[in-house]
Amino acid sequence: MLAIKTQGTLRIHVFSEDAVLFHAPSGTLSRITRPLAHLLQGLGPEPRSIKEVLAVLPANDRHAAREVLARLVADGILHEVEG
Amino acid sequence: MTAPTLASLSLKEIKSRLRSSRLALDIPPYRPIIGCREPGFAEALQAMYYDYPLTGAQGFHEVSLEMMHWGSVWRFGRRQLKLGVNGNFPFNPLPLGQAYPMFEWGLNWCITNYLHERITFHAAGIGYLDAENRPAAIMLPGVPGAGKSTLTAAALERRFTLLSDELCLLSPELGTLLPIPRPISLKDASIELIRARQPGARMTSPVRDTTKGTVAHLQPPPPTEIDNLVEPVARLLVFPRYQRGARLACRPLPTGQAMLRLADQSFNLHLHGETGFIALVRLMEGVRTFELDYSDLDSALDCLERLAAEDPLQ
Repeated sequence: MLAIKTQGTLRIHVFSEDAVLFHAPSGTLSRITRPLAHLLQGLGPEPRSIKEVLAVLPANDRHAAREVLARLVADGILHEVEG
Repeated sequence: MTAPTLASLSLKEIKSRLRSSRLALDIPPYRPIIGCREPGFAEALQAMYYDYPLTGAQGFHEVSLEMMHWGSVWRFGRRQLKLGVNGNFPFNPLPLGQAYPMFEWGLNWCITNYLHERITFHAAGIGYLDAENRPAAIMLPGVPGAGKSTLTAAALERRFTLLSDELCLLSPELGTLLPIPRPISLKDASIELIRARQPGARMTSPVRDTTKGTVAHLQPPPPTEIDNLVEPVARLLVFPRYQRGARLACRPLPTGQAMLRLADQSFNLHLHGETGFIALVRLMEGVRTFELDYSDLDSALDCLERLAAEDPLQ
């Protein structure tokens, strides 16, 4: 079962309509949805299963969120492990 | 005691000081010392910086800018100008006749490459006083050709003051913008457009065939002590886009989306790391964000005035 954890510090700020994510080690600044922001705020250096993480989102948002998580893994902002 | 200004020197004395690279002016955020022997440069500098204070040639100067001849007639068929910045030469040479634009571009280059205690954005900035007489600002970020400088030049006809036509400098600690009022760079059709609107305004003679097209500079309002002391807080972030024949359209932007677009226009946000992110978030929390498509200047200015008047903090 796959799990994800953060790689370095994530700073997330939620605005009224959207949110932004900043990954300090890489300097990456991204725009994300508010639900995804709340999801990512729940992540830390300890692995959490992807299924459990996505379960908190509305069903319609899970596919898009899975793609964003994959991109964040590819960019080195999140780390995917066997959990 | 008020410092003497460039107006206190005759054109002959200005040329003499430029020839010996000892003309020093207070042009925020720097006190550059300037040298140039190119015909026409002294006249342009006098017209644009007439009211700016002189500083002593013997004191400390953060930057020295010298426009000098380069190349020989025999080797390249023509001579060119190169810009020395503190003894280095960061630019390719330019044709003779482009000394004045080269000087302004050189000052901009110094700000974006040296002034890292501020977060620097490619954005125009115009100031105003809100209903409680507090200094406020509108940031106008955008790529070249968006119409920032033209809009800024025309905004001075209304209630707005000039922070900059090119660079907004954010203090990460205070969240305020440093005013750096300097000549406004106008290009191509904008030159005649603003000349027709402001027939009494001083402009440099247009310089053709630059890398940015035909360029002329518009004299800024005279600097005052207030301009230099009071740093406004941005209240509006408006992304202008000039399109010939376009209907006026002003659309709110989601804050996060606007933040990323503004970050794209920063020269040095990456140097500030997490501090920069926090400073940018704080800026975004305090502004309302819009896209503005326009073809008519007065309609665009009416819109900006309306947005400034609608400030919920007032």
